[in-house]
Amino acid sequence: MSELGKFLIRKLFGLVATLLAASFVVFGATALAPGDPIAVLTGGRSVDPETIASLRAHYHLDDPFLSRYWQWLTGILHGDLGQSIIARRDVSDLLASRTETTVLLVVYAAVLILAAGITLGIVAALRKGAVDNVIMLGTTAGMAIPSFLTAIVLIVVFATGLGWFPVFGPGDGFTDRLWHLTLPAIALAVSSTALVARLTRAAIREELGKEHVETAISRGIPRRLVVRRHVLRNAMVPITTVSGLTVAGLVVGSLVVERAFSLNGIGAFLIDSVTKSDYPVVQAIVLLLVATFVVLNTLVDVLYRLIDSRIEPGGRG
Amino acid sequence: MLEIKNLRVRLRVEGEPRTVIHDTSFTIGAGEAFGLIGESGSGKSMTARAVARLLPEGAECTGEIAFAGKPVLALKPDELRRYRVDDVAMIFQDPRASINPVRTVGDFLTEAARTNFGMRRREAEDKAVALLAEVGIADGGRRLKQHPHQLSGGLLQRVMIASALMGDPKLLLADEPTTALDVTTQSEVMGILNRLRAEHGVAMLFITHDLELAGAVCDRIGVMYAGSIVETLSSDALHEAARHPYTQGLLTSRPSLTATTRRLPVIPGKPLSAFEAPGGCAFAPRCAHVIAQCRESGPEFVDGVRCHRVGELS
Amino acid sequence: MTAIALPRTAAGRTGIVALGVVLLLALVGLLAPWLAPHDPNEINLMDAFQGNSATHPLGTDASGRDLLSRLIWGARSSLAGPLLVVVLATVLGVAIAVASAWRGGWLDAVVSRCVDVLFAFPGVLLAILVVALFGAGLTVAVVALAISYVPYIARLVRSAALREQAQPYITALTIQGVGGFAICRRHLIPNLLPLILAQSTLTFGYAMVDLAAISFLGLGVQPPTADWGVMVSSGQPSILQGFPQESLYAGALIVVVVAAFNLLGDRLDEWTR
Repeated sequence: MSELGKFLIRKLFGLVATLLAASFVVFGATALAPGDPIAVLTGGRSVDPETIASLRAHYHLDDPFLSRYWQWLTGILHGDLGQSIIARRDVSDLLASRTETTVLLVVYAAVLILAAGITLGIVAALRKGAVDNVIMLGTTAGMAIPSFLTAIVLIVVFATGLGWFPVFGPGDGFTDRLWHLTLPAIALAVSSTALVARLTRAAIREELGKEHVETAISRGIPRRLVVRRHVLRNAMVPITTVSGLTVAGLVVGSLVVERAFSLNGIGAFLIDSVTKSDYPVVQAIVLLLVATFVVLNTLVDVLYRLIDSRIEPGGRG
Repeated sequence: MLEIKNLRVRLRVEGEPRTVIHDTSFTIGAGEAFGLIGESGSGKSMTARAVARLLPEGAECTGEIAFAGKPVLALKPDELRRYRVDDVAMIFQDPRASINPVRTVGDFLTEAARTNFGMRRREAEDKAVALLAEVGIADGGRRLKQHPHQLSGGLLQRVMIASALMGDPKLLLADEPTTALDVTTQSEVMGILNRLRAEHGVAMLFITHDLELAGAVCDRIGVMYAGSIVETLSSDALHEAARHPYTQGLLTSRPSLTATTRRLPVIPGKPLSAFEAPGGCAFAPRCAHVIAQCRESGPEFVDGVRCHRVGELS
Repeated sequence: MTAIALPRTAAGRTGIVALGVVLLLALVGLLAPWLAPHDPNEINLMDAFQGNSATHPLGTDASGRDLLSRLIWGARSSLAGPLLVVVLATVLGVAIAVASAWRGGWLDAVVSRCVDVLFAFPGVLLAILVVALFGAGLTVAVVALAISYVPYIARLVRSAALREQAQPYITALTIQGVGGFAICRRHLIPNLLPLILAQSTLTFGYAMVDLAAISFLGLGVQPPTADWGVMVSSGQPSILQGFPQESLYAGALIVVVVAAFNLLGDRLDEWTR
């Protein structure tokens, strides 16, 4: 088998192992939780012992821990994410429409981060002096602004102030949705954009100082080609990794932004379920977010391997 | 063809200007090999970089560098690019750092020809394979597809030599081209460089700290000390005609194959960079023949040597 | 270590300014009972949404509480929370890292696997899971956040400890018969301190943002306690009524502190290299 094939299989195996361990943590943590799930189910009303017994049987509360974990896990593998205690409906049904909002928000923000972050980083790296200083100052501030605050500033300025964008809600139809999600996506993107810009700048500056770039200049290659072929191409390797990991992290950043803009996404649903102690929903969403994060990370790893020709497949760097 | 007159270079080191080349003048004729030797910090590499206008940002150059009558220091960006394309090619010390690691050897060899001369890929690759054969790499076609990390340092430096010759330059700037290589491959690579240079009729500015090597490879030699050339002489006359005390010191401080000495004579003290040199003759603190005048005024470069006492000593 | 000298570079001076800002705000929090002009929790619905005035220098919120007083009192939980997170996470992380680097073998293998699994939980997710189980509140949020930071600190310190351990002086001490615990306590950890300090400073910034985010989500500090994260959140409905001050003032303070810690961390990072 090729070295690349072995590498991919090893990655896949690691991915499965991590997901299994994470699922165990998620399920196990819930089992550790203080408090009686029956109390949540009955909402504090006094119920006769028979009902309690039937409820315990229905939710398998008296089975041993590992058996409950196994049932939960096999259920998930069959697409059964469990039942909400509060809504008494399948979690997968409850998630369906909300997923769309969250995915659209994260993808929108990711596009903004990559486009703006990398562009700003390149410009700052190549234009020393005032342009560089302004961008660095902006990114220092950008990195210090939490997304919920960006959200509020955007609402104050563009929604309630200028009235250019809607304040709340996800909107109907694709364009209207994008329209509604523009401010949330910006809020989600700002600090990551600053981070990506800074790391892009650092990667390019480092590459600009390399001897092979001097070689290219000494051979009379025009500067714009030196930058494109030797500086950007080489810096792309670290930039891709960092950007990929940053985008993967948005999965959780969206929680806060959804809350700030009252968007009905997965994150808002998670927080809502946390405050209502709806454990099956919390378990399902946390596992879903972890899975998305881990899969994205693995993809970044694979991508890194593919674009960095210096690394022999399966070998050393 | 290359004429350097009173070259003086100052770099900015942590904001402070620092002289690295004090006063250097020499010429290289067409097809001639000129060796510039000196200890580290003497300014020999900076001289080569000044010729290719590859000095670090913030460097100040005064004096003249003329290539076939063109004032190199005054070239506009586009003229400078043409000068680098047509006239000079540089071979760097460390081939592994000086070749882009993410691109193939083929990309490295053909990039300049395809970009600057609009050569087609096939044509450029054929030329590259032919040049690789000349530098002793027989399986050039296969090597073109490889990445630099798959080649040894010696092979990479041969690739570097081949790539320098791709553009048919008139002057090669070779900055310690074998220092970073294994001792065993050094002489091999040096032999290839020397032979190809002669066969292609290219002039060369050869930077080294090895006086004997320079004597073997070059037609003429310039000896640099603390940012100035202290002596220029013909290689043939190296051992007999050396007049400057520093050159003489370098010659006697090498082990000889014929004579057995119990202890090698050494030049006392440590080598100085131009910015550290005292007033007067820069070599005075280490010179065995120093007199009061040496400490007071720096000697002029007259008749190929820079020494107050040249008349009495040689 | 070199003697502490006042930095002369511009970058060094921004570090000093950042340190000054942080110390000043910490002092304000400490002296809150004397500095605050009003009781931060005194509700006076007749005075809601007041603008700046002599009695209320920064105005009042939707319940008529004095904003300046709430910001001053808020400095306490807003700064102490991240501080506790950093201390807890650093102590745990360093202990785990040094133990696993020093002992190696199965302990190191187990710790490394656990750290890998914790890395699968992005950002504040682990903290949210813990809060979901043990209930909202500052204590739970602080502990939860500290746990989620442990893997980051442990991984960094472990690799630094491995590098330090390879130094000849450690071998020399081992040959002299000095015990492992004593070497770690007296030699290994002190030599890692500059790195740990720089990392803790950077971590403080993250902890502040994450803790404020958790409070913003309603899972951390609970209203009516004055806390900057809570104020950003509780001021949000007032924005629609044309009164964004509460959210913006509290948010601005968060940004200032986080930026100061980021700058400070960068400077320390440069110094320790």
